[in-house]
Amino acid sequence: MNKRFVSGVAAVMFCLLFSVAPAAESPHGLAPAGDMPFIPDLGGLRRQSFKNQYGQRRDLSEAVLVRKSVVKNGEASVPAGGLCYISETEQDAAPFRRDPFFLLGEHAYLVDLAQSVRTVRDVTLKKGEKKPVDMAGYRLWFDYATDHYDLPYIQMALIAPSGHWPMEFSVSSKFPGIKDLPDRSRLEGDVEQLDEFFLDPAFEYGASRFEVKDHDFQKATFASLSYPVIEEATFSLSRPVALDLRQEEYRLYGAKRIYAFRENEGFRVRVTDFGGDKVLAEKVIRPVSSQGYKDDDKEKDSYSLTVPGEDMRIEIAVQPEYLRHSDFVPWSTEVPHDWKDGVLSLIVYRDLVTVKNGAPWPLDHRYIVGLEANLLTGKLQRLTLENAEPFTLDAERDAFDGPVKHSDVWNRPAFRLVADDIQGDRVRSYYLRDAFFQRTDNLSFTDKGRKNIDCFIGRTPTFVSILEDSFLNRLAMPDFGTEVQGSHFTSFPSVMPNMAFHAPDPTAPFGGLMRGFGREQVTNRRGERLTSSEGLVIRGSYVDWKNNRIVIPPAGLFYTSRNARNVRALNGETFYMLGRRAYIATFESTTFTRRNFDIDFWRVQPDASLHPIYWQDQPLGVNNKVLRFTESHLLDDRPMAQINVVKYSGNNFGAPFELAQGLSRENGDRYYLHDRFAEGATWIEPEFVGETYVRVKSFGTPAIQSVQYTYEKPVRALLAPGEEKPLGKNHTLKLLSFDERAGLATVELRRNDGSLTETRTLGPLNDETRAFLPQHQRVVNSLQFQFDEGKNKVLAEMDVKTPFEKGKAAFYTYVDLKKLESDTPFEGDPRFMVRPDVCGHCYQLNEVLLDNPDPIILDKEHPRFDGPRMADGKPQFSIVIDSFDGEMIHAWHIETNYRKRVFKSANLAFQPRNNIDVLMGVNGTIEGFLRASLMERSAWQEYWRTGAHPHPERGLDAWTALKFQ
Amino acid sequence: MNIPYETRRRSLFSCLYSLRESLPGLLAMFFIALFSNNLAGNPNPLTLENLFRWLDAVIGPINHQPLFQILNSNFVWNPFLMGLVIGNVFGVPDCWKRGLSFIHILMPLGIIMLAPHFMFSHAEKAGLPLILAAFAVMLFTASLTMLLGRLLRMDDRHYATIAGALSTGDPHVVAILMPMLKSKGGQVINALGCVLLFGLVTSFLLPLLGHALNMDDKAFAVLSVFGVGNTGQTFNAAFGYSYEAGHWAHYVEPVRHALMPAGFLFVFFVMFIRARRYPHAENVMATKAHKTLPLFIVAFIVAWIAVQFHIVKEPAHLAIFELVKWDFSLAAAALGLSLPLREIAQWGLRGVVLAFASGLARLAVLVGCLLAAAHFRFPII
Repeated sequence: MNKRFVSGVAAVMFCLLFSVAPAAESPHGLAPAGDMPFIPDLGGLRRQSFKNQYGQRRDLSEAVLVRKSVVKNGEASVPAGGLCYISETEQDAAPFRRDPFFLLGEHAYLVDLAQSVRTVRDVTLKKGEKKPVDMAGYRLWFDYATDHYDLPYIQMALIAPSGHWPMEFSVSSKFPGIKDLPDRSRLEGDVEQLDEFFLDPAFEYGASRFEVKDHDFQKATFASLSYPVIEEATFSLSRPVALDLRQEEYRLYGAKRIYAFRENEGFRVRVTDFGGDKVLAEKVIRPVSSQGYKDDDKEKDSYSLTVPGEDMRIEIAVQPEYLRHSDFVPWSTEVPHDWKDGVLSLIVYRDLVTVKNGAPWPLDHRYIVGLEANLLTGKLQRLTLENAEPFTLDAERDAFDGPVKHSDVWNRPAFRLVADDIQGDRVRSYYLRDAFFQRTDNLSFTDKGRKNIDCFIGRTPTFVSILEDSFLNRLAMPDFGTEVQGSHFTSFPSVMPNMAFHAPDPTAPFGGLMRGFGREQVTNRRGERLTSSEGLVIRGSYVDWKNNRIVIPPAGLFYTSRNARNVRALNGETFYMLGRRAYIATFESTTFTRRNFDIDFWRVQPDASLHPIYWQDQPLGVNNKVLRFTESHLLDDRPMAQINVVKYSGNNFGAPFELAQGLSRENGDRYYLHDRFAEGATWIEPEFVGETYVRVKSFGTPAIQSVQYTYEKPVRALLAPGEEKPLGKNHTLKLLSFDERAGLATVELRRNDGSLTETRTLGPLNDETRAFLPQHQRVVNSLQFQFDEGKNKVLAEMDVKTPFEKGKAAFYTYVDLKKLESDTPFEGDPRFMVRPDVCGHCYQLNEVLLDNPDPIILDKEHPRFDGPRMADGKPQFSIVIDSFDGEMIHAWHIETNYRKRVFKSANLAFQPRNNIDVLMGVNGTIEGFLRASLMERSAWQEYWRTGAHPHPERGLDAWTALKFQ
Repeated sequence: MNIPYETRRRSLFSCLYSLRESLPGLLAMFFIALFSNNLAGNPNPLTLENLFRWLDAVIGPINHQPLFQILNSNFVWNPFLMGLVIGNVFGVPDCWKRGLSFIHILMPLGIIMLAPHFMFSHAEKAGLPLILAAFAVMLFTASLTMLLGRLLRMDDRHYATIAGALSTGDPHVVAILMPMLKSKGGQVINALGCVLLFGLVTSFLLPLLGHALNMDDKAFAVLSVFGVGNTGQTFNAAFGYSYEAGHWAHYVEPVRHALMPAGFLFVFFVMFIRARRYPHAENVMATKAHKTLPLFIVAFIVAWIAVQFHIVKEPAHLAIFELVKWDFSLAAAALGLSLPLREIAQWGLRGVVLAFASGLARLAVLVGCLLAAAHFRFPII
């Protein structure tokens, strides 16, 4: 009876918890349904680029997001915060720069900000959790954990309430920090594997700082999370009025006079009535110029005069003479520093709107304002408006108005969410209508309907972050077939001499999973489950229409095999090798170092072929990696550089180096970044960080020379002294003696015909050496015994998990070893070169690449090219050109051989193409390329769905594009 | 003083009206074009094309396609419509008429410039069986339509225009055939209306038939492209059936496109030979005004053959097509301005009967062929 009672109570409690918990959870920082519809273009949600007062480009966009909605019993419910309008700039918006910003479709200028830094302490969370850290809805996400020397390090992200996060950061409290990086400036060239592994417990990111206190693989506690927040923002909804400043004189502004009297500190600006008798406001203000520190709370009051009750904010701008009376900036280059010369103008901002973070939207109290800062610069990056209360849509009330917008014509809802056909637990018709009465297609897409009304309409970059968990499934979604985007045809062949370190065409079709390209979960000896997968990438291919042929340049076709993390020796880990499972035996790595070199800022130089030119890349060894200076910012006028290590495949190494010199939080700087950087075994120490180039004093990163593997599963052998074990047909392993306490075992390996015998003592395997396992090759090599040559090569290694058992010593034995040596022809098919890629943290094998050293030519006489041959002699895949007219490719496909059957892909030129770039299979390399082009690919997916052409500026968009330029 | 033409002739262009005489009419065409289409180099956003796009967005898509695309709004239709409204509401001053007569130069010029648009290699991917089948269906439709037109005692220019447009599946062929057949403006627009009406009705009804017959997506795409024609209406039918059929319709559409010149040239040569054989027959009007094979047709055929050898690359083709849009925008504006509504109405409803009779016969043949292909498991694409 008691038992029943207790279990009944427990059941009731469980039901209560289960029913309450999801409803109580805030949608802030969470993703919408993974299969939600995405409509990239709706006229009323704008996307446009402008330039601010200094000619700096600002890419603005708007979107509407619905998340965590549920359709049930004929009702669609949206929780508070579930309907979210997002206005975003890809860069940031700050005062005194005349930075543009969209406010519900209206063009506005940011004129003032109230910023602060929020610090949250002692946050504990579990792996996979996205834990709210404050009332505003910021969440900390514990995404991933892995290890080095068996010690954990973790990857985290701070997610803004909108769902945006700029990057994942790695931290660990278990390793030496960046401050412990020794002076390595004497190192140059290849040196042996270094012992230290660096990872800082604090991630410094400009205005943000995240410090981990303690963690393991499953749980982490953060000592503090500091990140910038915006408390208040003031926008001007009209173009400012610019008046020439005349010293000791006044200018008329409507029915007011604005005097300017010169003083040592600046100008005394006095605003009076029309007759000049009544002073409305007066203050000494200084001319605004481009220095970033001026928007600091301590400084900014000196640069503007706000007239109470008069909707006026006055600044004095230093502008080139030709900019007088205009906020147009007619050139396209950035002007990061001040003007060389110019004139002074009084700039009067009017139609001012001030919004407060967390407060109701002034025109519509049903919506709450959210202001999100750029985590690096602390300036405004995003404005959100969210429904304050939950709402439902049903047969009686089928629409919910968006927030009321400011308008020159009449203030009206900026959009309207309509769900006009809900039946039971399915919605069969819902859409969004904008302020110009334009609507989207029916978002349920099919007659089956949907179980929620989640959607994303518009093109704000938040879309990319918010889909991190589901983008792969979305892009590989087979609902509408393999999407193929038609090429832009050029009047010249897009020739690339070599494609190493370059990404494929961002419009390359993604074939997703295909039989013949393996992908499976594998388990190593430690019981860790890892995804192992292989794929094919073609990059840089082009139609040479002068010679009626298709060319794949050197390194333009590569086979890729990769696991979810690096592949480690001594653990029996496997990877795919041309469709077969291969067991790694051992590896050979070094540290590539360089010193005293310059790296230029990388700028995309489009040549209309979508292949940027990377002459700024600095090579790191031969066909290993390159360094690329990809981003540059000024943080209070101190240059900050982001440098990436780019792999041979064209993907970035996970951790970019964020570097700036001369910043110090102790000295009151608003920003801090390390002046050198180290993560794992890769480090960089700059001599000088400039805005357009960095001089590097010392740099090092791992390089891999070779790996050895076998297709035969390693066999465990438990031997007593004197016992023998055959290794394949030709060899025998014999244990001569062992010392369990010292962790030593002496073994003999011999050819069975007696022609060769070797003896070696393996070990020691003790606490000291275990501290370097499983990554350090010196220790790994001390536990392994390689014997014989060529195809007869065998290997025995100590079982590091249980080396001694019941008075015997345990070994794993490998036979028929094969070698993958960097920059040598592949043993199984010499037409391809081996390019193993190394983990930048830990010297282990990260990826196996096989690529073409010579151009591949396809034409009418040679419409087929076979990829690398598998063990059975058949090519793993073939490229087959079906229809090519000398300029356009109209039909081609990929064939794979899998279990004695031939599988064909869809036509990869369903729309005519001028190259055969493609991504087939799914692994980390292909994911990287997909993530980089996610927004455009997703937009194309939507065009493909309805058969539409990419959205040109037409209709109302054409009109607004002209109106505001 | 009246100076004879031979005396004042200086060049090939001496036959044209002087700029002063033709300027008002040219300006009228120019401004109608500017406010009708988003033409290359025209920054004006206040165009009829943009208005229709906005209305499309307000109404919302039908079968995922914009309504005005289904109604065939395009760079010919828009200026024609605007010209028609202006001409019929406000009238056309005499001083415009000399300028409007430039339509007789713009039309042939536009046709020649269209040559790079019809690349046979774009159709190759669909495979030879489908291309041959499409070709046969096209000739069958053209022949049947001309035969039925004669049986209905229609003006030969009228039924030949319908035959060209219906068989090629593109209503704009009426504009191409106008200078070829020497059709009247009223006949051309009447024929356009007939073919559009047929396409509109069938594009909504065909999915019902497809579902009733449980047709394969690819087969239905082929049926839409060759049975309905007219790009917007084809996609309306195909996407109305399924997304997959819609995508395959996009795939098959280039076949119809590539074969189009063969269709309208077939109609022209049939009527041209007929006019040569019966030069004195009163009911033979089509092409009769041509004393010899018109030069622009020869030029078009030469250009069409030449472009098959890829002498015009895609970027050049796109640039030429922008010129085609300008050319036809001006010509369509002139046509609309010079066409009273009664001239369209005077050709009656026989064209509608003809378009539906011939079109439905084509559909029946196509359905039969596609079902037979399905029965014998013959791969269509």
